[in-house]
Amino acid sequence: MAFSGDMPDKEVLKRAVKETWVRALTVVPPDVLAALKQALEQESSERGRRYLSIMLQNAELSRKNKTVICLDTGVPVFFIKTPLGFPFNGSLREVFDEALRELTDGEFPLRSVVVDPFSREDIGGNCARNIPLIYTEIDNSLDHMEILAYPKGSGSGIYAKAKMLPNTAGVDGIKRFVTEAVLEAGTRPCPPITVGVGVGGPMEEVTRLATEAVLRPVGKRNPEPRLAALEEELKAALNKSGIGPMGAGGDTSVLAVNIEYSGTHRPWMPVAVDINCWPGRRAVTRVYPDGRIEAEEDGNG
Amino acid sequence: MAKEVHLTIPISREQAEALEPDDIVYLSGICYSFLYREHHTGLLEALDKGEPYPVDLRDGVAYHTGAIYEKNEDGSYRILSIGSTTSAKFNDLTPALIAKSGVRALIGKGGMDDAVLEAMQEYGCVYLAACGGGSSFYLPAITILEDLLPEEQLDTCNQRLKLRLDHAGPYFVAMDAHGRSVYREVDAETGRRKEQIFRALGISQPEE
Repeated sequence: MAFSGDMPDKEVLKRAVKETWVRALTVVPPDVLAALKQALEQESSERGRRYLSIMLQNAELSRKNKTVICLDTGVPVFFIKTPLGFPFNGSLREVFDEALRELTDGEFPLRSVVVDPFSREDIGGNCARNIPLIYTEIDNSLDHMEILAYPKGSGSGIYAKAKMLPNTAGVDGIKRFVTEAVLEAGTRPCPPITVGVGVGGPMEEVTRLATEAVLRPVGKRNPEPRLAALEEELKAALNKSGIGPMGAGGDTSVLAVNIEYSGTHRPWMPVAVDINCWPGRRAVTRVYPDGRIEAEEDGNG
Repeated sequence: MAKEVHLTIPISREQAEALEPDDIVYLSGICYSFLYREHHTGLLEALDKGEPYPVDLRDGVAYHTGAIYEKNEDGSYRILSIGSTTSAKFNDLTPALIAKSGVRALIGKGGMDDAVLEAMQEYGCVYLAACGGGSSFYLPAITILEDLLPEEQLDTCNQRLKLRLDHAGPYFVAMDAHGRSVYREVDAETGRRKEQIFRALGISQPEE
């Protein structure tokens, strides 16, 4: 993709980041909303239905009033996909830091939840060393830059897990690891949860895959039949747990189990689990070289 | 049979003890936010030393939450978000808090452990569950009266809020003052079903 002439300036990118972040915090993605509505129709537990009903009302009010879904607005995590040569020569770090700081400090007031892990010091603005996190991927098939926002809340994020299992663990080892992780989180990560499972790679790859998986829209299966089957099998089994909405019991404990994988070393069977709470917060925005900003309504990058 | 109950703070021991699991509770009156462990330890220290403290929980309500707010020019507060944080973070501090403060109800999410349940039974206190991630839903009934933390300690997260509830809710009784807990029930059920889950997946259970 060749680019000529047009160049979005820093303010355009900042606006895109702000819009994406606010949308992620205030709009429950449509696939998650559909899954919650379906769960409300099918849930046999009255307690479960009470909570699902509040979740749906909260989603509606948050979107309408442009107020945050949850007080915990999370660690700001962003994934960028961009073609090489996308015409922006400035500092992405400055773009994201300034965008989050300006929102937090007044444009869309937020608590600043991130701190230095050692001193526990808070520098404000939802900024800290390397935060907002910015992960970039080059995709030369795109004619735009794509920004995905993933607000990572404390209550679900604390149950994320990864392990380098030996090759002998096999697929059974993956099933066991995922089951144990979800049961350990139990009533506490604001179920019904989305479970992202990463398999393969070395350590940094398997955790990235788990996050990529948790961000895949609910209801969209892995295109490989063997993995789609494993996703369904795990989801059905985990929904037998009886954890239910908000851990008060019921049939709806997980909305989806999504699996992503990469190749791995012969002696390894790396596995990672990321958990997202019921609102499944994420949002995607496209920025074009001429400065146009488009919201991806499906939140589906 | 679950009942709907409207309570005004202060709540008597009898009122707390009349609540049963799954009762739907709406609350009115003054309560206080407890978001971090420091909020618990600060109050406990003051109670131990008999020192004055701006938070009085006698027959009152502790809300496991913080808020996003802006302060208006006239000194009033504009509340933008209310939460309910994971209560299990405070498990170890809560039996002492219940024993020493005289609190009648905790509002939070995700439930608390058996030691808390025992203290609730001994002193007459209940756990009211809010729906996690329910900010916009609960917000209209909640007003911030004051952030009690000294100015120099304030930041966007560090806060100690005096809140007014106006028929706030619904909250669901999830742990009562008679040793009954929805979470213990669910945990036990999940434990019983664990074998079924592993069997469905065709794998053996890991050794405990």
